[in-house]
Amino acid sequence: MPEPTSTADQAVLAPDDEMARLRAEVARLRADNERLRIEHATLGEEILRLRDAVVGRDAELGTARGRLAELEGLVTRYEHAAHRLDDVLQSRSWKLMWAAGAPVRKVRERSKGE
Amino acid sequence: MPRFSIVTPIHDPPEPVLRAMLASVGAQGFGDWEHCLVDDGSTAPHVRAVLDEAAVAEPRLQVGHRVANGGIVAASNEALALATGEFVVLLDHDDELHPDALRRADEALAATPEADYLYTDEDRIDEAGRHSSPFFKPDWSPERLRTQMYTAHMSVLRTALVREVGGFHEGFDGAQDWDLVFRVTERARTVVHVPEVLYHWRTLPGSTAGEGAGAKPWAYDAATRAIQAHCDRTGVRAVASRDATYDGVYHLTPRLDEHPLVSIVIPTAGRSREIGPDLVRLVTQAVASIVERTTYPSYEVVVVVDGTFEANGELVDELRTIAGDRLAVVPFARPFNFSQKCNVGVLASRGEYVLLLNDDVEVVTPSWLERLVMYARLPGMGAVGAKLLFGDGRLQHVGLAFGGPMPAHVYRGYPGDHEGYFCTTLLACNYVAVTGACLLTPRAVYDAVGGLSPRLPLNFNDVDYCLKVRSLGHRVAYDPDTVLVHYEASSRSLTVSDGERELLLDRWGLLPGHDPYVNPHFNRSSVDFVPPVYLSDGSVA
Repeated sequence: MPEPTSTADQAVLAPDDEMARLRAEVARLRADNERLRIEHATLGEEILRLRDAVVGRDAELGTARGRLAELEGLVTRYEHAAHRLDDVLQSRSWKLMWAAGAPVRKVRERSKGE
Repeated sequence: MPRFSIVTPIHDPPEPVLRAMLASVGAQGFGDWEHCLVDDGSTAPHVRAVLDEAAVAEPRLQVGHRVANGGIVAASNEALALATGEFVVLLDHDDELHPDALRRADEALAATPEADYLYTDEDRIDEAGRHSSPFFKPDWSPERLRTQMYTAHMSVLRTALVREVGGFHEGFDGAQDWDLVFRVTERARTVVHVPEVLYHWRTLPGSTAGEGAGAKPWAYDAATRAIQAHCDRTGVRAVASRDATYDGVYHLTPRLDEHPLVSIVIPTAGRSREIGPDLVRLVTQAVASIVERTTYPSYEVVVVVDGTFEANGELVDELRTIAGDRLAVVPFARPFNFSQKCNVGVLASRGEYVLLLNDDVEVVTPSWLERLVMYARLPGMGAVGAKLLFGDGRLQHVGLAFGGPMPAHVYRGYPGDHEGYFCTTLLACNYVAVTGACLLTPRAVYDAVGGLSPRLPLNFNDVDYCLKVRSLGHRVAYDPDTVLVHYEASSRSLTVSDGERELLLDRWGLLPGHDPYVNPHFNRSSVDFVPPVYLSDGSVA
């Protein structure tokens, strides 16, 4: 295309150039916008996923703490029961009863043997 | 100051039941109480004689006499004025307390010092003292209290709070207890439920327990006024009305003054199914039913469809013809994951409220969005579900509960008009979870909990969502008057993968036995609120 030689020519041709430049800019911005939209959606999903993980982990922690307390309570109860049993077995009255029952046990063992 | 002040207004009860009521108080294993009785101008001569005799024998009795009958509110307030105890216990003149009632209430209140209101389970007794109709109640359910006075007996209220709210209000005769409980619970820090039958409601000719609505018709009007007054005080935009068939059941009709945008998010594969004689594209039918029946003005429909735009051109055109500018279509070209699909749809939506909707549903109730928004706008509400019916009219969803090891649909497959245990299916109720087939939730809540978990691609994502919502302190509710048809095949396999089961258990533990809305007395092998065999002596077989 020949160079515009007059002011009038320049006035007529320049808007076309400007229009082309603007069109290219709009196309570029549209592409950017689409890229950002996808990125935004991806980030949004990632935020949801992470929040789900945080709330879920909190819940898991609470559940684990509850289960731990429950099991510790059970262990304590077993230990108490074991101590009580031990106390009973070590008591004088139990030993006396055990000794008093010895003849009966002997008779039972004999009858089993026969 | 005694721990408990038992408040009893009296008006012409038969002598044997009056004596039985007094004896039940006297038989309490817990001794720190006073009994405030006001005779409301009884004409039967035995009343004064029995009360005077009892007052001489029991120094913890305070008896007042009104010269003329002033009605139950006036008499209750007079009895309340006599109370010096920390808590008020409401006892009707013809009912009885279980011998352990006050002891168990004391224990529960000691365990929860911030409790301002406590209620227990109850049953009925006849004139001969035979027990029946045990009412095993859920834990505190504010939504249920708006449609049924389910806490009723035994009610224990912090005296200072009762006085702060002005005691019993005139104009609510017959529903004065409900009105008072509304006003107290509106300010209560904590509400406690003791799941034991500690109160026996007498069924006598002429009593509400014995004859229902016929006995005191005015009481039902008073109850409607009490609900309305509560709604007006607390910002529930609704009009209260009484159920035409079931005594003691009430309904709320929305009267919204604002219509925030609701985004209806429908994940779909665009499939068709035979419904009746026709082969129907499910999502098309769902969207058509929304557009044709919805009366709510402000909504958008976001359809998340498998594949690309290009691959769904025909479907998109079809939906656009039906929904016009309300429609947005979001392509989902990834491996199947229902939760992700919903999340993508929600992220592409704009509404203040998000409604997750399956593509195989059809709207029945035109005011469905008004109803769900009415509940969702209440402070502390996290998710609201609807009543879903199978195509043949049977119940598909009226709430989810933990009975067995995994959550299940309450009354699934029962006849559509089945009212359930103490009218449960007819009442707005709180549940631990509602189905994601139709679930309205505030967007802020959806964002806060991270939406549906992608780790649960098919099953339990709705249950997990609701449990997450509850873990942040929000409530989950079911509205019985929002009805949709769910064309889910009733024979659908409910197979759950091990991974889904494990994730749910890891996160939330063994919930069976801890579902606050399933009374521990119910048969745990079912979620249908099946009570145990109840013997006439009040024991459980």
